[in-house]
Amino acid sequence: MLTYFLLSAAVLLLVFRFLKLLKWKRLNITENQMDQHLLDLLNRKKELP
Amino acid sequence: MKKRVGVQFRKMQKTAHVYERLQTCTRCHTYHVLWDTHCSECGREYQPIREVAAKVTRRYVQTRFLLLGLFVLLAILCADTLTQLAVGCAGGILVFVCFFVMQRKFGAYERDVDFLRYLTQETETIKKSLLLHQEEIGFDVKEERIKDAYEKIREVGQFLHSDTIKLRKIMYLNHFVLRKDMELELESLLPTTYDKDFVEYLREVVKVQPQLVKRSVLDYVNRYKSKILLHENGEQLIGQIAGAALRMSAYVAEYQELIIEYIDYLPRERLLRLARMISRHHHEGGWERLEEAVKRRIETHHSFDPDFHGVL
Repeated sequence: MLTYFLLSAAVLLLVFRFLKLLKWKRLNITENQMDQHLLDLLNRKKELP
Repeated sequence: MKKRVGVQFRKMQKTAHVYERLQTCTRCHTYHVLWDTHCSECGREYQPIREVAAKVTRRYVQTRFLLLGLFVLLAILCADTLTQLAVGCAGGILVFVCFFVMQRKFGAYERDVDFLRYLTQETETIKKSLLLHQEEIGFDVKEERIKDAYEKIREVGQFLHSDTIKLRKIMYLNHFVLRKDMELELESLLPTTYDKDFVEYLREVVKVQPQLVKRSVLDYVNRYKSKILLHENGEQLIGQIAGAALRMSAYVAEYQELIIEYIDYLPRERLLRLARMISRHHHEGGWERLEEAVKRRIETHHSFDPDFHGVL
């Protein structure tokens, strides 16, 4: 019984990973977006409290 | 007037994206944007950040794979019957195959997302490293190594777009004799407010590389026209800028007012180009006032010039 339980846990892990990868595929981040992200981070002014 | 010196700038490395210029020392955990290949502190070779981020992703994928392997192995070890053993082995193989297929198909997307995360996490360290570069530049200036200072700030300026960086670049550039063969910049140096050093730089650039005058530069000149006029030969400078705008008919149409206002300062060759351009776009409409001004200028100053005959 434990065999089936552990195997289903592995499958569950795999499904979870598949959904995560699918989500990232849908995001489809381009190289230009990465570049812009870096520049935005570096040039963002710190907000005053 | 400051004495300008002739220099030969180091060739800039061409990259498709700015992040490709960023390298890191994995031992010191610092970043580097200049041309050195090895860390000055520990001597280790700098690595491109994309590679470093990809290594982090690979390690994460490996741990996920090990976790799956652990589950499968335990499932096989816990099998009580031969059927359970067969199911455990077959299931395990199936899980591994699926994992590999998924990784092959979607792995690149994961690397991209992880790279973004990596950049976000490392922002402060990157900023600190850029600040260290700026201190180095300050030291170069103190030692009067202006060329080195400019070459360094040119690299830092790829990442930081503040007015401080732009104005420092302009200040250094105003020490040099500008030439046609130099890799000069103009649009990227536009400060958000009026700056007299920038105007002086603009005067030099427009002489050697008028093709750098683009829409944003023309907007800047239009916005600060009254202040530019206070410079020595300010009218000539605006005339030169207006002349540079004649490269494209779209600029001529858009900045007609500026051209009309400074038509008296256009050199003969620019005026001839403008006249030819107007005759080509005669049918389009909206160029009447400009045509009028050009005709007037030709009549008063170039009526005996054969090149102008029959153009308009």
